[in-house]
Amino acid sequence: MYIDLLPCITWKWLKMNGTEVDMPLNASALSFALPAGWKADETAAPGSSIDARSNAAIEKALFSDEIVSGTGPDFDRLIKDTNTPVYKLTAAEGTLVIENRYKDGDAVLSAVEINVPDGVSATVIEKFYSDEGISAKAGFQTKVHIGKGASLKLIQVQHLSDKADFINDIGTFHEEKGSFELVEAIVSGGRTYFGSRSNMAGRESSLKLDMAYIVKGRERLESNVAAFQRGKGTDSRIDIKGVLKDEAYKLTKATIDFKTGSAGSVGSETEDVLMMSDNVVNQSVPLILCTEEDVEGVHGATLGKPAAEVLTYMKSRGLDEASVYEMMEKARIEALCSLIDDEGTVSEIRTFLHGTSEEE
Amino acid sequence: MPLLEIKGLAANAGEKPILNGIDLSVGEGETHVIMGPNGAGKSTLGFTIMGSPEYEVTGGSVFFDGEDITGESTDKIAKRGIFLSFQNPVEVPGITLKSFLRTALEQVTGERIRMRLFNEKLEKAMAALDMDPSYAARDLNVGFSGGEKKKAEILQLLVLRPKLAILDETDSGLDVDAVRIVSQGIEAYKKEVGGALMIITHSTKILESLEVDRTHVLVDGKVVKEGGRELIDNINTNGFEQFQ
Repeated sequence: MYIDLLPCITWKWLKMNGTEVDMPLNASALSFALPAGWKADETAAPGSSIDARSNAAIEKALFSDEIVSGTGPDFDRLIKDTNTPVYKLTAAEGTLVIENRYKDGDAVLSAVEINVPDGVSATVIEKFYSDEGISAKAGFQTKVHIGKGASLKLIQVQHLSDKADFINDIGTFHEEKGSFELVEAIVSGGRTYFGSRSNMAGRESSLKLDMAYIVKGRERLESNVAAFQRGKGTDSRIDIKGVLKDEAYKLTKATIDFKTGSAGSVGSETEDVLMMSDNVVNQSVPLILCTEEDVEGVHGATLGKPAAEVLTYMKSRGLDEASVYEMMEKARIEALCSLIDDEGTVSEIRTFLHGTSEEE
Repeated sequence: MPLLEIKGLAANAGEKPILNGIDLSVGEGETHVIMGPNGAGKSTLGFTIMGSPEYEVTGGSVFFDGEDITGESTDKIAKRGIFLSFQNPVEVPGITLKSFLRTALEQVTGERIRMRLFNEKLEKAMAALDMDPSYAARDLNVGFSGGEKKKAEILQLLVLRPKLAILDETDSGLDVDAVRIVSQGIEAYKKEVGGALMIITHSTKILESLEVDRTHVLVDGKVVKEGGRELIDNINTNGFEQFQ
């Protein structure tokens, strides 16, 4: 399976264009309680005929209003080939929580497709948890169709064993003024492949993506995030903050793609990575692609260790260097808590970070 | 025995000598004022006492509570009970003022503090400084105005309760009202903690309501004149040129 294709490929030897992954997974049922007004149907996956290694094929599909997810068409094919049921959810106001708790030996795959009707604002919280030390493989796909003037806030929290491999795939389609907000907290996981692509076809549609991660030990995180801005006056903001420790490996691909016809659109992408060790591998590919003149795109990356003056300031209050680093590390995820309006989830994140749910 | 005793302290910033043999001592609960023209080495003195790696001690020594702290790391010096209020407090995104201060308090006291108790301390200190309580949940100094940053420094002083507070140009860039509130905070520190103060300043607004025990004038990294409060009045009238 070939996943996470960079929307504009670069030199092959850099090994950043995409990743070949061999992760056998089996269909898995989901269990969740539907909030009032929500509807759910279970359907067979349609699969995909798109070449996962072809940006031209993916772009053609996007212009045909298809949802092409961040990891790509091979993941759709895996869902179909494994007869994984797709839960088709129709959203109403309120919050749906889907909790996935993976066990030792699991090799499971699940998928949901959420339709947010015109004018509806909904929140979905997806949790991917496991006990420490267990060995598991898992895949999860979330596809979202956002209607006119509708909005979906998707909150994902990942706290997996360092022996758990996980593919997390998101794809969205936006009608006029359709807005998608993604809050992505990756606290831990062995090998994580993350992908999110937004097909922003609708005029004045928007994407706001806030992602924070901690990658430590020998963990790996590979992300492919793309905003495909087609409609006039669309707005994307991708803000990624992370910490790399020990011998961690991280590759972030973040793309803003202004297509012809997206006049008046804006986009920004930033990544701020704290590298706490000389042995980490940090790769970032910030991309702005543009075939429309009347757009504004900005990107920036901040990489490195905490500034000397910040260290001195914090140490002058009695914090030793290890405590400063620990605070700064946890702060990346902690900062996302203010974006999560669900006390239970915030409490869980704080427990993962601090060992107690009490606000630190 | 003085609380702080500096003997022949010399320090460089890179290759450049900034402090050129400073002798100075501060007793428990005393208030000392360090004055001098720009570039005299006033801030460097504060940072060097605090063990900042930005400056290299090339001579002399610093004693605190009778122990030689020259060359100690900044965090250890802070744990001994010395506090430096920064002229330009740094912004630390992602760490709230509240969580930072709680962690700092736990580090300097070496004890875990319960959230409820800490909240009470924090609310009381914020009220004393007329600070909007919402600042506690904001990222440390991020987007704070100049005045709010200085208030946040004094807030930390009130919560951490050090034995010696070095205030580096705490009044710079503040309007009259902010100076008054910050001065009230410093008075509260003196009253409640009884700690010593080393106030580094250009101006004298912040000193109006404080009893000053000793004034030291620094020029070119040396103490060139010492006196009592009358020295401040002299400088207000005649400036620093008389010492250069």
